[in-house]
Amino acid sequence: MEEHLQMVIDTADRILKDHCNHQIVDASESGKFAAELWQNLEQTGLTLAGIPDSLGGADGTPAHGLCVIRLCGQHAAPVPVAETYVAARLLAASGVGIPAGPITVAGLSADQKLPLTITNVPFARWCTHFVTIQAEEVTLWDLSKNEIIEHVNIAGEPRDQVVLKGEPIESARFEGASERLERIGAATRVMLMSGALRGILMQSVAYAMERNQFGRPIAKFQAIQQQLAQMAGEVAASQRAADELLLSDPWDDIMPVAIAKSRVGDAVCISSEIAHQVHGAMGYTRAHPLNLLTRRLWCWRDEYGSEQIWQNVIGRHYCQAGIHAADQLWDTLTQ
Amino acid sequence: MFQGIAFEPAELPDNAPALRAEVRDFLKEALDPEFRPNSDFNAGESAEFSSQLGQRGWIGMTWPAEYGGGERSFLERYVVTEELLAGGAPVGAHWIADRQSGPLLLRFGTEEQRQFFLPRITKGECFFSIGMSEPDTGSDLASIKSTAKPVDGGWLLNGSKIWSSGAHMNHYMVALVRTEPPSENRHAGMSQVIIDLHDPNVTIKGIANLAGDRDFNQVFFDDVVIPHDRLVGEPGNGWQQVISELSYERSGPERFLSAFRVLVEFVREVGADPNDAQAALIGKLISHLVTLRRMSISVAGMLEQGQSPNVEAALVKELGNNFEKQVPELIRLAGPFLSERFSQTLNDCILHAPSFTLRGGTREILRGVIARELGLR
Repeated sequence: MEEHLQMVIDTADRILKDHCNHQIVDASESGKFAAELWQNLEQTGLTLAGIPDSLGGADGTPAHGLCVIRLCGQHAAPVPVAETYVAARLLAASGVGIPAGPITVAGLSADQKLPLTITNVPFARWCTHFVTIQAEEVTLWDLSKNEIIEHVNIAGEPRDQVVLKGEPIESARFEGASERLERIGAATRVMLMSGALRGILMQSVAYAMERNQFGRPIAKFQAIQQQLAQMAGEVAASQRAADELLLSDPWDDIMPVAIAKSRVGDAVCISSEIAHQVHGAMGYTRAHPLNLLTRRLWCWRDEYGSEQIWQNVIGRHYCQAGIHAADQLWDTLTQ
Repeated sequence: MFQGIAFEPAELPDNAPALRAEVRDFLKEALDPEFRPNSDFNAGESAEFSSQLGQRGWIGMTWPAEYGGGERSFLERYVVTEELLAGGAPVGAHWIADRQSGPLLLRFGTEEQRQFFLPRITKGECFFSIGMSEPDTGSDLASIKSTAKPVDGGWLLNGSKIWSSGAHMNHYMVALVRTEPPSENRHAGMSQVIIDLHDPNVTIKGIANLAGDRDFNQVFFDDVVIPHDRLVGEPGNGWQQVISELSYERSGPERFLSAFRVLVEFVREVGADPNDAQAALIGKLISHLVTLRRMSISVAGMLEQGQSPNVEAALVKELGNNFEKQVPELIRLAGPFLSERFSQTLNDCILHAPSFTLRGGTREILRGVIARELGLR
């Protein structure tokens, strides 16, 4: 791994360990913004990792930003790092200046007109700016001048309703903006999930080793070992599928992100099921940290397209050659 | 990813596309166009086909030239093996010799053994079977009873081995046997020996599997003399040697491609306009297949670097075998499809699927290996 990337990962890991614990995530679910966590990430440039310096970013490759997002997923970080990454990439591509502070982002359908009511906007109440994508139009809004109605998803993450009434700060067009939003948005969910899956595997293994029943740690029972091994397989596959997005920028290519969202999404159901089974009733309580990750996984798998939606995209891609598709399948897979 | 588990992405070499094209051209010529291919490595064997592969340098590809090998990388070998499987080639005859027995001899064999066996294997003229399980020994491999006792000039072997695929057609078997009585350390006192399957004191009896294939055998040893120079490695070191083969045995494309042709025939049936459920199923299976392939290539890359990625190999096999079993079960529900070709491919896969999570280490054993790496045992 290149040195700069390792430095980014180490810095993010340290900040998350220092400023993102169970209490802070819980407090965020009661409405308190993890301001210190955000400030530390922003001051070290991690909220704009992978965005060119000339555009106000912290330089590095797109993979740097995705690695930070993966760590945020592992720690259930209640800050809009993924949203800011997506928004900044779209702003950078369209030539609109990137403002400081947390930015959120959402896509609009082509026929929506002012006043715009947009639901499920991540973290809107804690963001200073909002980027909307409507067809090829990228628009930057000042959130302090617009109405926000608070809602949350089942993980207690803000998924607010925003009503845009006034004039935007700036607007620009670039070809393919909507598709880019879908791809990069899905890529951030892949990274968040791959981090969280790693997190619940580590928690489950640790719990199995410390929890005693029948006079020994439950890790010593084959029934538990077999389940955790199965989960490790799912998590390993998820890591490898997500790693592909570090090698080839999802901005340019839809198939790796489609494959990753499908594969990682498929891993969530079985992995969270096993994690909870191993943790027993303890893991079912609000007081135990396991649910901070599993509830988020259940949300992230649906955002920017469920696994089934992306599977449909992949399936149609591989069938498009019609009567030749079957005999070309292997060739297409190995290109 | 987690403690010692890592699937570092590996790139296939620059010559991979050319190598693929070469294998595909060869298969077009070598295989009957009416042949209904099956991508299970155990599905077909042909000594003639293996000999043709040998002539092209596609057996023993990674071995040193002095033993007839091609001195190519594990990643090049990966490309050739996955092309052969995806193309449904009858690879069964030389498969074990190429994948396991040859590398074992390279690592632990004597110079004489290498000189004698390896060039023959690379020519596709010398085929091996595996002798591990016994009638009372399956997953608990250390409980084997076949015993070779020291005698003048070598060892006297008695006992039997079971589930030895192709033993009735192959030339030799590498068997794990006891050379010392069981002791406190149950992994001690075992050795690997090379048995000439044409020895008059060896009896081979076929066992039909549920699909009706004649592939399995039970092989009986009745005072078989094993010369000193047919013991592999150090006497008593058999267990360690067997363990060292596992990352070769468990990580290859044969662990996730066995049902690939079912997917191909499914795509043929739905044509250019699948319904949403069919398109999503194709996409789901492809997303799993592509990921498994990347993981398997990672392992080939680690083998190339001289590492022993045993846990990663176990993970590829565990995930890959589960995938292979899911493919026919999910696809049959996306039909019905009535063509003879589709039904034949699907049914053939359903009949062989029970073996996918048994051969080369059961699911339970693999999960045990993974659990150990997680620190649970």
